Amino acid sequence: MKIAVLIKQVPGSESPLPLNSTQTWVDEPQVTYTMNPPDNYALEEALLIKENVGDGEVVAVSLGPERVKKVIREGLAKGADRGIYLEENSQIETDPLSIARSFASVLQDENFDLILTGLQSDDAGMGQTGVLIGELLGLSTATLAVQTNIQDEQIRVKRELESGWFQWVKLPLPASISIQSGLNTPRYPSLKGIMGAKKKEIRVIPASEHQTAEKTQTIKKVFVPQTTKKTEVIEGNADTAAARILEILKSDVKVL
Amino acid sequence: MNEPITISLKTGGQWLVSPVGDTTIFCRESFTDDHKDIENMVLEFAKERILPNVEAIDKLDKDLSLSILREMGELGLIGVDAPEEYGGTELDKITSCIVTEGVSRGGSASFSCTFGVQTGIGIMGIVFFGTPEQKKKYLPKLMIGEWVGAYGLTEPSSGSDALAAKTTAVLSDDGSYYILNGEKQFISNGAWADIYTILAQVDGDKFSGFIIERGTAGFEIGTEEKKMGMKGSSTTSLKFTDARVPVENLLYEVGKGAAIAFNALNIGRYKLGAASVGGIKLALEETIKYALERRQFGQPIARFDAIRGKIADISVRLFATDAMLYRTVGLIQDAIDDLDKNDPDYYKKMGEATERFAVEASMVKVFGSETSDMCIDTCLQIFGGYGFIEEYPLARAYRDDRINTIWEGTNEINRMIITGYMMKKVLLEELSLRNYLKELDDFLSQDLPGLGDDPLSLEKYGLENAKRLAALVFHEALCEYGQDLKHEQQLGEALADIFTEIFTMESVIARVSQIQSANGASNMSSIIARIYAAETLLTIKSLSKVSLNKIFKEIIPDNHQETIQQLTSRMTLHTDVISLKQELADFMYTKKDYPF
Repeated sequence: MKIAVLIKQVPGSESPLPLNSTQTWVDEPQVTYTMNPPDNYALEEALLIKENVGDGEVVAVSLGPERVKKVIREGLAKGADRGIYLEENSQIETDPLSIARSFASVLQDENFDLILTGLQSDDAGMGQTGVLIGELLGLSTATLAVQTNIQDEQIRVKRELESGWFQWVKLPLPASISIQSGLNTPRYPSLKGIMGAKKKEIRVIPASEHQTAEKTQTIKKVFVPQTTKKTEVIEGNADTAAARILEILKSDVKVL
Repeated sequence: MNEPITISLKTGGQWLVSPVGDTTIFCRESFTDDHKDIENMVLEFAKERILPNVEAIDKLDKDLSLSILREMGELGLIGVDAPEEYGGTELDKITSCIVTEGVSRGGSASFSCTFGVQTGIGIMGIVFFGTPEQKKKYLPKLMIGEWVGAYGLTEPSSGSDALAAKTTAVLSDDGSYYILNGEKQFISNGAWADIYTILAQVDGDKFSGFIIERGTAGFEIGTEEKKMGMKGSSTTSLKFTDARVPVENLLYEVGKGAAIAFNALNIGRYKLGAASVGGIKLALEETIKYALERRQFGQPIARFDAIRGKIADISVRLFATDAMLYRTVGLIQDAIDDLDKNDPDYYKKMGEATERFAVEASMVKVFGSETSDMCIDTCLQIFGGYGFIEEYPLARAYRDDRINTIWEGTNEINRMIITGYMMKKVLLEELSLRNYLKELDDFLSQDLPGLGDDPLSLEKYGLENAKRLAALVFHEALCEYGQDLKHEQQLGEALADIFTEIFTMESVIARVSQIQSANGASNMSSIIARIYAAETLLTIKSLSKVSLNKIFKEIIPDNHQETIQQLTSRMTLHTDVISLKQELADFMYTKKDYPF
């Protein structure tokens, strides 16, 4: 079982997020980065599948500036066998299609049985990369997997639907699956893993070798939404006030 | 003229007579990528697995504490100091401190204690002195936390006077086992351990170590002590009534118990500094958050100048502890790196290499624990009434912290070690105090050197003078009292503090200079160095004055008057520490995490 896990590096949940001077992204030098938490679950799922199947390879793949090698190393420390790093040094990329094309161009020669991604990234949150790669490479695809089960040349996937519904689907391999967060408990890297990670291979793909298509999307402006405060004094007797409060809770706050 | 004595520089105390800025020191900024990755992992673990469980652990939940311990075992965190051959991860002492510090960021001093015993005194006797058979039998299971370790030195009637222990071990007639009788007191992990390293007197006066398994006939475990703090760690007495311990469980050799006891303590001392650093960082982060949220008189209390001063004081002392801790561990590691790993006596020699920095290890222990006292107390003060309430984090931290000046050798004992070992180094001419002072007149005849563009040149100059003053006071104390200086404990403590302040101040200045040469001028670390230097030079002056008044019985001889006057006036800085502290505190408020 040969599994690729796509791991993105994103700003940490506790990092300051000041905007850059052109207001096109966050001011990177002031940001502390972390492994995209949903990808951490995808990585864990890949490692579990490999352990269950009893043989195979898990490859940690990431795209971005030099700093993203850190999340590849973290993947290697947790048990991935090798890494692939796609260099990308221009302005932050948010166009899911061109990102997917970059990955697809590199991954297709590797003939992975399974490509796992987190359901979305915690920064741009597009949630499309895994599906698009599947489409570009002609793989079966499924999203929001909360359970996986490999059987012969197939993978059974339990998908999370709306309103508490789940769905089991059976897909032929190779497949690209996006993983819902919380389906497993991601492991910590062991000290041995950390020390051993530097001995594992990270193949570097220069930008010129994977950026095949023009971008179809650019960021115009990033801004912090303006918060406005509106106070409404509810008048009338208790019944009128209660009715109005009920209406607000239903239609404005939407908690009922 | 005497032949100069060549000594290995890899021994403690040399900084007292070396020029400021003479060597590069190891500090946090010297961490390798592996160090940083391990630090991240431990911090994440502490935040996710320890921090949410602090209250439950404090209810003495054995299963919870030991399950966290086992998880850490699986990750290889227990065996950082132990050989790979027996399940350890065998990394450097820097890593060992990073792990200790990280675990204490989990906010449970009780768990830190459980973990600290398991990774330190509970196993290090076996690691350093165990036979291959003993190591093979005990270490692998201790490394994964399947077995818990403990260590018994203290007895009801012998604490600081550890070698006066009364527990006896008598060889059986057939020579197959030792019969132990006696009692051990305040044993951490007492009720939870499976394997105990116990010190006892063979034939009445040969202090020796034994490995004793739980369940040994005649070995009983006392009830849990009701403690002021550390409520989530097990502390009991141990009782031996004709307990039979097989001869193969003798650790090292008969009569070599002191080596076992003191090696464990040296390690415990610098690790205590690491634990203090972790605990203070957590308390400071929580306190800054609180001070920014808590409003009085229409503004966050963080903005009041009195609070800014306190936040700055904590930040400075913390930076200093961090600097002297990792400098010390770096020195020890450097000495260990010279050893041959394939030497069958590698671990024994590692113990000796560590011993050469016993002065620094004790300084880290004293300075770390007292910094922790000061900082936790100040944080609690900033929490005001809420600091006194158990639902807030400082009350527990305050109670837990109190033990740190007591265990691993009381701070009184550690100060005696500092001055005592420094004295020994001078008497053995390992530290050439006399040569250093010979050049004093020369030094004093030179004017203030050009300041250049080093932002800390005045501080460095002040420190050069402080070293001479310290050497002078020390020399005069030795002339006056000779070996009897060890009985002049108050004077000895003043000297210990002078040495510690000099070592720490130099560590701070060196660390900041290194940060600056690597990253360009860092205003904030430079501010920390300036505050620390200004205040420390005042402290050194006043401690020196008190000492000289004692040594010279209130009449400073004429030939010394001028020298002392000159040195102290050159130690006077005119730093506006109040304004610097305001600037530093405002900077700290912009950072969610401790930024250094």
